[in-house]
Parts: sequence; C-alpha cells; structure tokens
Amino acid sequence: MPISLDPMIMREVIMDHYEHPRNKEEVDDPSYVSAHMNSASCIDDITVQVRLSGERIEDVKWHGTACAISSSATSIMSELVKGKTLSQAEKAMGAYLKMMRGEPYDASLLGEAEVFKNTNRQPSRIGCATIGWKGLFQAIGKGEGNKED
Amino acid sequence: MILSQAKVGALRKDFPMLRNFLLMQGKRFCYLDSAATSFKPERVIEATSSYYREWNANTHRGDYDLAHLADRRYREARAKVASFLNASFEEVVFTSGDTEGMNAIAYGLCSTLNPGDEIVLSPAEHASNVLPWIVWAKAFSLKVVFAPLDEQGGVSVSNVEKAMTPKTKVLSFAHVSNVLGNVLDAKGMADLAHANGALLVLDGAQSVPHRKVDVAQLDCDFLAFSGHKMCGPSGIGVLYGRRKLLERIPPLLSGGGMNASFDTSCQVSYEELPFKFEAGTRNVAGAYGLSEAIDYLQSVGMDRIDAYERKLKKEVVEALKDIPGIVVYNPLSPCGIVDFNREGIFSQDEGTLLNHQGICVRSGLHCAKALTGFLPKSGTVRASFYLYNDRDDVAQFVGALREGGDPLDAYFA
Repeated sequence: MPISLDPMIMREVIMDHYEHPRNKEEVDDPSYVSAHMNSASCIDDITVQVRLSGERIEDVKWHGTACAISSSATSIMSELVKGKTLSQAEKAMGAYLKMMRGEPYDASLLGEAEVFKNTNRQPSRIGCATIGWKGLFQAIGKGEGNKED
Repeated sequence: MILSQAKVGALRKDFPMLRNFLLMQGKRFCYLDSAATSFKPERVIEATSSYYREWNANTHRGDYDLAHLADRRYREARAKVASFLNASFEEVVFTSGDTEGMNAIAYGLCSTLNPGDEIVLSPAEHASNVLPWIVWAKAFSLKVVFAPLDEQGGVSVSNVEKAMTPKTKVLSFAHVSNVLGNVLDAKGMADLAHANGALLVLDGAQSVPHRKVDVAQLDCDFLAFSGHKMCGPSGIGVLYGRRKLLERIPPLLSGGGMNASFDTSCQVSYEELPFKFEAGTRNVAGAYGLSEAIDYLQSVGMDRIDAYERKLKKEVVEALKDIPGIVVYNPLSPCGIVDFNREGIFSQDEGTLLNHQGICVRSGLHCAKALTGFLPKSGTVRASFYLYNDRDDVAQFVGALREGGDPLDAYFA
C-alpha cells in the first residue's frame, strides 16, 4: 500500500510503532525458530521468533529492548512479512537494503517500511533499521537447517 | 582552592581538541565522556611525539649515546610515576593499559594459589576486573565469588567480609566505579584483606586520573590504571605491585628484555624488577607522554581537580532534580560521574538525542554487565566531568535535558 513520504507522517509512523509495537511478544512454542540479535556496537537486544509452514512465514514475533529505530523497524518488518512466502520476504529485504544504501528500489515491496527511507543519510542507523530483518533471516536459516537434518 | 572558571578557561586552551573540534551537529561541542577517554594537552602530545622526532632508540639494548638517552628518559618516566603513586621504582611496571595490568595481576596471583582458593569481586566491576579472574580461576581451579552491593550500588567492607571464607585469598575492586562513581574504602578493604590472609587489588582506572592515589597510604597490594584516561597517550598504563609480591608471581608475557638468560635445556631466569614484567620493546613514547601528563595534572593539583569535579556534579544533580522524567542513579557518589536515564526512553536514544545537541555521553552497560541487577537491564546514560569541563558545559547539558525532544530529532534532521 502506498504510504506518504512526508517527513511528519514518516516520523509519526515510526513513533507509533515504537510506542505501540506490533507482534512484540515472547513465544514459548517449539514450532517457532528463534534468533537472538545482540549487536557488538550498540546495546540493542532483540530476539526474533518465526513460525514457518512450508514456504510461508506463518507468524513473526519479537521481543527485547532496543532504540526507537530498531524497535519500530522490527515492528514494521513483522507486519510486512507475515503471510508472505520466503521468496517474497527475501525480495522485500533486498528492496529494503537497496533503500538503506540510497540505491533505486521497488517501493511496492516495502509498504510501511519505506518510512526508513532517510537511513541512507544517517548510515550509523543502518544497523538499527536492519537488525530485525537480519534476525528474521537468521531464524529462518536455522529453521531450514533443522529441516535438512 | 577550587578551580575558578578563569583557571578552567586557561586550562582549556592547553587542549588542542578543544580548539580544533568546535561544533558537533551544528551545536557547541560539549565533551562529557572523559571516563571513556580524556583529551591531551599540547605538551603531552609534544612529549610523546618528541620520542619519534628526537630520541628514537630502543631501550636496554644499545651501547651508544642515543640509546643511553632513551634509557635515561624511560627511567625518568618510571621514576615520575613511582613518585606520583608514592611507590618504589621497581614496583612500577609499564603496561599497555589497565586491562593488560589486570590480566597480568590475575594470571600472576592465580598461578600461586591452590585449587579451591577464592577470589572476591563485585557485580559492579568493569569487565577488565572480572574476566581475567574468571579465565585464570578456571585454569587454576579457583573460585570466583561476587560480594553483594549496598543500597548505593557500592562495595562495602561489611558486605565483603560476609562473602569471605578461610579460603579467600584475593579481593579485587574498582577504587572508583566507572558507572556509579562510588568510592571504595580502600584502606578499610586492605585492612580486611590483610587481617584474613588475603591481598587487595585495586582497579584504578577512574581514581588515579581524578584524585590523589598514594599506594602506601591505601595499603593496596596491586593497582592498575591507564594513561589515556588521565590526559596521557593511548597504549600506556601502569601496574603497581608490592615488591615482594612482584618477586613471587610469574609474568604474564615472556620474551626479550625480561629474561636474564635462557638456553636449549629450557632453563629460564628472569630479569630483576620491574623488567621481569616488561617483555618486548616497550611503548617508550607512551611512557614519556604519561610522565608529562602527570606533571601537567600535578601542576593543576589532584585535590583541586577532585574538588572541582565534585562541585560540577553537585550542581548538575541539583539542576536535574527539577527536570521531570530524569532519574539519576548515583546522586551521592563523590566524583564527576552522573549516571541517569530519561523515563520511558531507551538509553541509547537519549545518547543519540544529546549528540544532536552537541553533547558527548556514553549509553549502555558501560562494560559492567553484571550490574544489571542494580541498574536497568537496558542500560543508562553516563556523563563524566574532568578538569577541562566548564560552566558552559554544565549549562548546555542541563539545558538539553530540560528541553528534551524526541529521539528521532537526529534521524529527521
């Protein structure tokens, strides 16, 4: 869904997700794979938990303490990828990383995640804006690993 | 007795960083992170560089005049440190910093203890005064015990006494805590240790730069600290150890310069103190820069520096009382460290916001990762004051906290 890229609106969306994070819940369910993201260069501490059903991301939950950008980016990510196939989620992350780097990207894949468009102007926050996404794929990677066993 | 703002203004001129780095995010540059590292006066930079420009030679090796000159200056630097601490020449070991010193002390002591012997630390300690003990205790089958903190998050003689057993052989604590700034009753702790057949190790990283430290008066057995936190260059520090203890413990690092002889039957004999603990080519430039830093600080006066920092902290804490939402965790500790949070705001967001106001502070756990029982698990913000901070710094800091703002200000700037 197209979102407004007016800075005021972008800011409000980010603050909304920071103050009212979506899917923020610790899950105690063995059908979820978890990845604990513990940055060496900051004190963000986020765990992402994913439940896969075949190729589809059935549910994404996350918990922990992190800065405003990390928290809101993870919250927005969790809503964006829920229900998508792994391939769709990978394409979305690809577009997101291009946006981080200031390269041309396919906005239709990003929905609300486009509010982090400015990150390319503040590269020190790229880690914040991508921590949740990295956690998602790390968890998925673990899930795939388990399947192969 | 107290440093006047006129005097501080004059001191600030000594520091090139304060001349060269004027604006941050378009605001007046305000550095409140000296607990992490300090700025250096021109004369320290000049002294350190002079080694490379004018008297660059290895020490303890050459038979030529230039080498003798380097030897003499390195020796004088050590003598300066010894006098500064009220220690003997052979009790002063130059290291690469506090952390190397703590590792050398931990290895040295642990290797002389018996399986089952105990070491007492506290949850407030910096990683550099925890990990070396954990690592070497494991290697030598010793036990590490953490004494409980008091209500200020400090380490008290009575709490440590309760944590001691007949097997306790070492007590190791920060002289001044890098997070809460609590000051240890070092003499009391030394008495407790010695009365019970144990030794006292002090981590002096946050004390030696800011107040007078007399190892004889404190009666500590070991002390480690870094040069870069006391207006000295990077990569240099000091390990102080009581002579008979340094004679008894093995060095952590081995190699050239610390051995008297070795042969192919693997017999090794060590050099006399302090050289036994100084393997390899030393940071001669750093040692010389550190001795210059000591001269500089002594010309201002350690007591005056200490009193000034406490005064600034008192003013800051008083002003912060009126700002809703700001919680200070260490209002009473007598030092220049203010540890706080803004309610509801992640500490690193607050740090980022202050950066946007031109202010340098540190956010997080400050390497005291076991202190999370006493402080929020998500960390705190630490502002630290030193001799070159002035009233404008205080006003800017308090003003920024009063004004608030949201953590996204910088992101959307």
